[in-house]
Amino acid sequence: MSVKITLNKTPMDYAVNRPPIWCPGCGDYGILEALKRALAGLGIPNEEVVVVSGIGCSSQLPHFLKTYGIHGIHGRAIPIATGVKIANPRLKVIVVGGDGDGYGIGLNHMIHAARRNVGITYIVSNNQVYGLTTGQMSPTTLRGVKTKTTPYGSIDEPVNPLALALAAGATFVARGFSGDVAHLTQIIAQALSHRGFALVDVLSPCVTFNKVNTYEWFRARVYKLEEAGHDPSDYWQAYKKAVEWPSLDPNGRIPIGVFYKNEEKPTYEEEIIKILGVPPIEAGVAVNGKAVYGILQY
Amino acid sequence: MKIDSLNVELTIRISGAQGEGVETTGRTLATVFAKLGYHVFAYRQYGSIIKGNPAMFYQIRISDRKIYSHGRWRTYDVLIALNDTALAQHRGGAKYVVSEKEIPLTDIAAKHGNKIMKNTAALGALAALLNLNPKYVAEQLTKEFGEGKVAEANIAVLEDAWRAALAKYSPIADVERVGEPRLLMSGAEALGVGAVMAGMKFYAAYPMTPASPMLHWLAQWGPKFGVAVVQPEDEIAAINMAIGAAYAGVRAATGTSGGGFDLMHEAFGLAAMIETPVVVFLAQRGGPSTGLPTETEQSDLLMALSPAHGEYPHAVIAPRHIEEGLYAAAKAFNIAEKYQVPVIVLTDLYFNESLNTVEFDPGRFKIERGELLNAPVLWEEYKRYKITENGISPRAIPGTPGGMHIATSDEHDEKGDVITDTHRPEIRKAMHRKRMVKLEKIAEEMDPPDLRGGGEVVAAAWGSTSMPLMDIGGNGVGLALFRDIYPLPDGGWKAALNGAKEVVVVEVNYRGQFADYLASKGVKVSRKVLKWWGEPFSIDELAEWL
Repeated sequence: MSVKITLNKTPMDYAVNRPPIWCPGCGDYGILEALKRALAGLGIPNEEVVVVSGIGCSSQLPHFLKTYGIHGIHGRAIPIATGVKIANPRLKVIVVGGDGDGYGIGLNHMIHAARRNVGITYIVSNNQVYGLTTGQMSPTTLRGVKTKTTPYGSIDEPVNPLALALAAGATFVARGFSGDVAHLTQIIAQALSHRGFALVDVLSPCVTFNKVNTYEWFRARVYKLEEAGHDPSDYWQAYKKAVEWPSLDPNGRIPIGVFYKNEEKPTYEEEIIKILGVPPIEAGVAVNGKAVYGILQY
Repeated sequence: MKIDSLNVELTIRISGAQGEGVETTGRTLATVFAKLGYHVFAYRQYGSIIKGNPAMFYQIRISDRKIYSHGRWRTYDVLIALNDTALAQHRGGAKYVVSEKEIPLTDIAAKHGNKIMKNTAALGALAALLNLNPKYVAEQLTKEFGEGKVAEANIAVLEDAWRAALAKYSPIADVERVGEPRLLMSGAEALGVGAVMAGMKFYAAYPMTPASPMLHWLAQWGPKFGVAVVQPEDEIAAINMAIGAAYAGVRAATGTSGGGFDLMHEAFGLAAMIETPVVVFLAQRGGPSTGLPTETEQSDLLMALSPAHGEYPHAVIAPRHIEEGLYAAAKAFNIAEKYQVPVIVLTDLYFNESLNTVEFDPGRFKIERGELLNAPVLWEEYKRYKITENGISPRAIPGTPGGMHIATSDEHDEKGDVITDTHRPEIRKAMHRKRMVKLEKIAEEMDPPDLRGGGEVVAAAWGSTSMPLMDIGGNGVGLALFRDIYPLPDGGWKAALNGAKEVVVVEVNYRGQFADYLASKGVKVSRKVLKWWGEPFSIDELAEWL
C-alpha cells in the first residue's frame, strides 16, 4: 500500500523574489494576484505552466511568476503560445498582455487562435491607453478621450474585444475587473479549466496615464452577470451582453463575469493529435529511415 | 546508354500554355526516365498565372552520368510544342520537333474523348522518336491517374500517337532500361525529407512561391512521421509558432520566400536573443517587393546575413544541389540546437522547383540536440543563460521540474531576469558577449568551399548556381562552391582562391552580393558574372562567359 501526500499549493508557490515594477496602484497587481490564486486553487505544478507575453507594462507579468514563460515581441504572444501548446498539449499555456499588444498590433492573432480553438487562456490587461510608451491612444480608448496622440479627443471607434472574440468562434469569453480580485480569480480559474481558447478581458486601470477610466469610474458601472441571471451557454444572449459596453453605450453599465462558455468544440491540439497519433513532444526525434525511403518510391 | 548520335545526353523541352498539361507531361516523362535508371534533371519556366501564358516550358535533361542542372539554354535535342506560339518561340533551338505539324495530336486526343489529352499524344510521338517502348509511359500514366477510364483513354491516345509517329519519324535514339530505378525529387521535397529525417516535429508556413512545395510535401507526408504542420494567418505567426514549439522542446521550422521573410525579421532576432533553436527555409525568387514571383534569383543573400536589427549569432546554409538539400536541412537543425540559434537554409526557385535524381542514404543522418536538460534541476541554482566558455547554456524545456525561467526579448541576466529597468553595462557586456561568442564556435563546424579542378580561372559560386557549374567542372576552369555561407570557416581556402590568376564570382543577382561578401573577407575578386532576369545560369552560357 502506498500513501500519496499532496501538499496544497498557495499563491506564494508561484511567486519569485522580484517585486513587480509597475506603478503603485496599477491594475496589473490585481491580475497577478488573481492569476497566482487561480493557479494555486487548481494546484497546477509550476513546471507545467508556460506564461507567454508580448511587450508593454502588463507583458512584464511573467517575470513575477515562478513558471516557464516567454516575454517575446510586441503583439506576437498568441502565435508563440500556439506553438507551445501544439508541441506539448499537457502544458497549461497562458498569454498575458495589454490592449495595445493584443487588440492593436496583434489583434489578428487573437481572431485566428479563437477560430482554431487553441487551448490557451488569454488574459488581457485592458487599460485603454499605451502605458509603457507614456500615454498614447490605444485600440480601446473611448471616443473623445484626450491622450498624447489625441489632444483633440480620440476620433477612433474603440475595438469591442468580447464581441470580436465571440464572432471569431472563441469558446470562452469573459470580462473581469482588477479592482475585484476575488471575482477575477474565480473567472481566471474557470478560464484555466476550460479546454479551448479562453479570453479574459480585464478592466485594469492605468493610474498614471488614464485619468478617465479610473477604479471609481469602473466601480460605478460594473455589475456581475451571474447576479443578473445571465446564461453563459446562450451565444446570442452573450453577444447582446458583449455589445452593451462600449459599442451601444460608452457611458452605460458594464457587465463583468463569464459571457459565454462552450465545452463541446474540439481544440486545435486535439485535432492535431487525431492526425498525428501522439503530441509532437512525445513523437521523439528518431525517424525510421526505411519508412521515409518507402514513401519516396513512385 | 544507347542514344545514337547524341553521345550520352538528351535534352527535351516541352512548351505550351499554362493549363495545357506542360508540367504534368514533363513530370511524367522525367519519372519514366528516372525509373529506367537514367540520371534526370527537370526545370520549369512559368509565369504567375494559372491558365494562359502560351509558351511556358519544361526542360528535361537525361544522362548516363550524374548531372546537377538543366544543362543548355539555347539549344536542345527535342522540342515538344503543344501550340503554335510555343512552336514559333522555341523551334529555333531544337534539332527535332514534335508538334501538330508532324502528328495530328489534337485529333488523336479528340478521337478518344477529349482534346485536352493532346499532351499525352505528344508523349506517344516522342516515344516513337526516341524508340522508347510506350509501355513504360503507359505504366506511369496508370500510376498517376489510377486504373480506370481516364488512364485507359490516355493510354489509347498514347498508343495511337505512337503508331502514327512510327510511320513519320526515324528514331534518333534507342532508349532502354539502363539500371535500377532512381529516386527523383524536387529541391523542396529534398528539404522536406531532410527535415523529417532530422526529427523535425513542427512546421508552420504561409503559402508563398517558391516555398510552398515544401509546405505541400510536409502537409502530406509530415504527419506520418509525427510532424505537426500548420498553415497560420501570416508569416509573423509562422515563425513565432515555430519559436514556441522549439521552446517547448521539439525541433521546429518555418519556410517562406523573401517577402514573407521580411515579416519574420523581428522574431528571428527574438529567437537569437532567447537562444531558441529554429530553422527558416528561405527560398528566394526575383525581388524586390512582389518582384518575379515565379522566377529565380539569389538576391536575398545580404538579407540572410543580417535579417533582424541588432547583433546576434545565427547561421546560413545554402545547399549546392538537390541531393545536398537532404543533408543540409539536417545540418541546419543540428547547428540550431547545439548552439541554440536560428539558422537559415537558403535556396531559391531554381533549387526548390527543379527535379533531380538523387541518392538518399538514411544512414547519413545524425541528430545532435546539444545541451538539453532532461532531469529535474534545482530552481534556486538553475541559470538558463549561464555564462560558459562556448556561450552555450543547458536548456530546460517546460515540464522539467526546477527549470522554470522566463525567456525574454529584453536584455537579461543569467537567470533570465530583465535588467533593462536600470543601466547595467556589466551585465550587458557579459550577456551580449556570451551570445556573440557562439559565432566563433559555429564557424568551426562550417565546411570550407568545395574546391575542384585546377585552372588559372576559378569560378566561385554559392547555393544553386553550383548546379550548372558542377556540370561543366573540369574543363580548365576551377571551382569554389560554397554551401556554408555564414559564418565562414577559417582555413586554407582563401589562400587557394587568392593563388588563382582570376577569381570569377558567378551569381544570380545584379550587385554581386556574394562577390562583395567574399571581398570583405579578403578574397581578391577579379570579375563578376551576373544574371538577374529570372533565369538560372546554363552550361552553354557559362562556357562562354567564363
